[in-house]
Amino acid sequence: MKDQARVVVIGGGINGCSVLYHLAKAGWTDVVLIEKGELTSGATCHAAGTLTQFNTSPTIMRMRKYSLELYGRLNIYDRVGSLRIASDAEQFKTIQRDISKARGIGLAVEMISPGEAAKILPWMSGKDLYGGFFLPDDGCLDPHLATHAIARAAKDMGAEIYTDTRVTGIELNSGKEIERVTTSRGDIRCEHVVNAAGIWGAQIASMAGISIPSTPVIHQHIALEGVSGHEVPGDSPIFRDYGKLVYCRPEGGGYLVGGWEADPPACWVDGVPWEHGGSDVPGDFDRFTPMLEDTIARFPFLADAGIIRLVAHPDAFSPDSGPLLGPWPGLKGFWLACASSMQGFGGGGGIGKTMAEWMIDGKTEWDVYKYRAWRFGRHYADPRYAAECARECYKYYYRTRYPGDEDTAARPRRISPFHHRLQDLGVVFGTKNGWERANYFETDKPWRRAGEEQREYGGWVKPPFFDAVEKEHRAIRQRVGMVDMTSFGKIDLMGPGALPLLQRIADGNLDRPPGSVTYTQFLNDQGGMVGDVMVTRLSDHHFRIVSGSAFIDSDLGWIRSHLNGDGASVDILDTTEDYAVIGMWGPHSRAVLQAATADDVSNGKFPYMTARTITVNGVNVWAQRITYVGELGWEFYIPASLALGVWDAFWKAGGPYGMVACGYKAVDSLRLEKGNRAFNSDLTASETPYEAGLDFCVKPGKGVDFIGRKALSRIKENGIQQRLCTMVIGNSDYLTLYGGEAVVKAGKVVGRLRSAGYGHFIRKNIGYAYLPVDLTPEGTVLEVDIFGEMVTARVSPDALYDPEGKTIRC
Amino acid sequence: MKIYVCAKQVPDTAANIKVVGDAGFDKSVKFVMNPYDEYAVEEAVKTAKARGGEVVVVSVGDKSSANTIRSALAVGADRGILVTTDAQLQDSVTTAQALKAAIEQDGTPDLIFMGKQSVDSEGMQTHYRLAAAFDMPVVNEVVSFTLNGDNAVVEREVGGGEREVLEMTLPCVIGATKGLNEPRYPKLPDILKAKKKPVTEVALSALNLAAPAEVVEVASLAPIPERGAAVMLEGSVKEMVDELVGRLKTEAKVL
Repeated sequence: MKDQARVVVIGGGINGCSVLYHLAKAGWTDVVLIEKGELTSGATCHAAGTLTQFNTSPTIMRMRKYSLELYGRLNIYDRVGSLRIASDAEQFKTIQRDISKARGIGLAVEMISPGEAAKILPWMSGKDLYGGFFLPDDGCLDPHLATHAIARAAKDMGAEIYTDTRVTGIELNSGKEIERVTTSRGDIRCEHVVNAAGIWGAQIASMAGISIPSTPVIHQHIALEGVSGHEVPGDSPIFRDYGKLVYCRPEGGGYLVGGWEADPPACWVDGVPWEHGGSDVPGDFDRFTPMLEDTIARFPFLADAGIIRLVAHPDAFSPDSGPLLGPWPGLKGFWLACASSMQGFGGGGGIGKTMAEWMIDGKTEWDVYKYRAWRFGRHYADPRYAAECARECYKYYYRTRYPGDEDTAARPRRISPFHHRLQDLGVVFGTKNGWERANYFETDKPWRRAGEEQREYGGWVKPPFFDAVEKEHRAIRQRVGMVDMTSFGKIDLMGPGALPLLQRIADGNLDRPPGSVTYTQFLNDQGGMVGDVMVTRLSDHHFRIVSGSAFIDSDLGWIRSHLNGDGASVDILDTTEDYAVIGMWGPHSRAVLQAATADDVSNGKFPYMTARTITVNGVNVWAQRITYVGELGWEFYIPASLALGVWDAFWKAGGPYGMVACGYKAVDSLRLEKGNRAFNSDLTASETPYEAGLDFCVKPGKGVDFIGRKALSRIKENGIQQRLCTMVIGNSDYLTLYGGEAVVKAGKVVGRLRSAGYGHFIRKNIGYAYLPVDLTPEGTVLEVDIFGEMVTARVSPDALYDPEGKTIRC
Repeated sequence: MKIYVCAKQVPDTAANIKVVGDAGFDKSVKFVMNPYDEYAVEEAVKTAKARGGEVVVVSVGDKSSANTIRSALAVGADRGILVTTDAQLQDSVTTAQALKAAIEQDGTPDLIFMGKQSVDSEGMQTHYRLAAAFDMPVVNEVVSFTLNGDNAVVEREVGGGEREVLEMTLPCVIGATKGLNEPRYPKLPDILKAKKKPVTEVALSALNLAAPAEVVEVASLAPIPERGAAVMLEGSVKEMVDELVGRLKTEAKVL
């Protein structure tokens, strides 16, 4: 065994072998893989080995497409095609929407009729068959043979693989850099370690001193015998029925039937036995029975099929179902390719490619923002909480996850100081990053926590809370409204290194006087947006970054990754839970505020985009005059323990002005009218601020080089190819728009909706989309594919409400 | 005919058994019907179908052994009796006594099928003890079974490709093994029907068995040592020979 290598990959499943292969292929041949058992002796050996390109995430779809091309080149792939069907009208609508979304990210796919579907699988019952789609390039492989083929290809290029070798430790040097991996058969000095340990991923990560949320959740499948006279051809397409939670793969004349159950158990959440290997765990036939019954209803001859074996086995899942990929901030040389079981072999090839690019070039072809390993906050370090979240994600892999449905796992987890005040007002809570947040208020009903809300109100239809949201929306436009925004992510940077650090990572200029508020982005080397934040300078050496509730940990990781040498001169503190936040906006907000404070809050003393301390009810409140909703107003940052009194003071002062409490659904509708962007849907790592219409944020002349500046100057020189545009879709009638829908011009898909929804004040359906520059002029007519119906859309001004920003500056 | 099948629940042969303490093991593994008992169930069901009659499955074990009885009911057995015990692993003396008492309480057997041995304790004694207690003939490792009037004609392999053919009078005890038949897989409708078939539970203590004079206890459990991988010696012939001799002396300590 080698005692030195450039990279040690831990784990001999498809991910580890694929990482090894792609590293070797890119020329890093001094790489070894350590496997405690045999290759594939983990979750990989139980993979169904089915592959579909279909996914509504652009990155996952591309990963899968790449994976099946790779497996094809290695001759380990059977291109048998796949059919997904709808067994009820609601699932049919879901497929229509999924097709629109998939087309929007470049997948050629069309709905087919029940008759066409029946031709593809003639042995299928036509009962309750509503249609579906067929993807001819989809297929399947043998997980064991495929993993070995990739491992062999890696070895042929010089990589080495040591099986029956258990990693016992990971050693770091004093600079927190990877130094060596210790194993049951000796030590290996190395520069990089890749944790591809699957269901053991969390335990391997802990050897390097870090905690990652990866939960083993039990998946079940059943092998059915062939039925004489009804043998299923081995080269027939894969079958999926998301509504019934099942997939079927032909095997031995029968079907292998797998299911994504609604209530899957987790196991070994506090550590998987090293001995576990690839054996299965006790199954639960009763849990599987409904899915098997549904499968038999579709394939009636399977009632006569003997059940060869029910296999139950744990796979690794993260709390949001996405894999954990990439480096770990502050731990040089430690990489993760974990918790990817939901992606299976479809992910395997692409994950290997992405990891190799990241390690070798420092950048990836596909946008991996959502899959960066460090995106989870410290509350996910509780393995039971991570497990509850993972189980819930598992549940929705096939089951329709409506955009209006909320997570229900382990709630309430994080509550603001105003929680009980909101309850008294009839709040309907949603949740984000563990926080309970007001979605809207039902002032005549008891408060509640929303769960499968949209499913319960009927699915793809107009929501019953439409009027409630409109009332809140209009209150902010016409009077004044108060929003609990405590869930905002907050990061305080303190010390002489704070400004240089911020200037290096932000596209804007933060070297402005204390009290200034700056809207800015963090960019990657390609100019893509990986952060979108408000930065306030509290004093010369103290800055506060405010970010979206769900992005705080991504931002923290990004900041820590770019400390360079100035780590000693800046403290980076997550202050999210230290401060409660109230947003108060509307034409009367100044009057309300002035009634609650003795400080002068007139426009002259407290101008737009500035911040200062005011006193409310004897409490020092940090007030920032900014707005996301496009009305005059402030955000107030209050020490959490003193915050309730401030809320009550505002509430009392607001009474005469008709103030109401508002939720995030109204905030979203308000900001859509105003043209304000949402990170992660409108702004992603695949676009630049210029394309996003955020030119005003970019300060290339700020006198300091920043990450992405070179790329931006190239783009500025060559001109942009696409730009984020606001569109008005249909007429004033509410449309079931949720984002992701394909945007079409003359029959050709030209983009997809990002943020989309109803503007309650202007009474229009609004959607944003990146459009090719020739389609960006105002008035350009396009179409949006809404559940298979092509609805006319027109490019409009970016802001449909108060484009000059008069209300916010007055 | 009244046919009894004695079936035992055992850890899956593919399970990773982790020894806990001196004589215990981690019970969180998957449990299944003892694979040899599957041949017994299949033969009983076939025989009952051909000759008419009832198949009663009897098991001795903890409450979870009901799953094993249900799996027999799903492939054609009619009903089950579970003698519940605190521990899954019982001494074969006790097991045989319990089986006899449970069967006697239930009816008069014409035939008793069992697997040739259980894959967990590997005792290969229970059928002999049961047959002795009932004063019935017994043949183990049966690969062929036919009824000839009131006699059973059975074959068992005796090595070298030779088969011994034996004729036994009924009632008798048959120890089934691989080759006797091809156990069928359960079908979903039959599994669902099996849930409604009766399974009687009786506590071991309620059988009022006489305390056996001697019992076997498991003193300790240990995993079988893993077989080491082959080591390829490299170098000249002399180097390889020297290396080999050295290893035989220092590692294997046989020289």
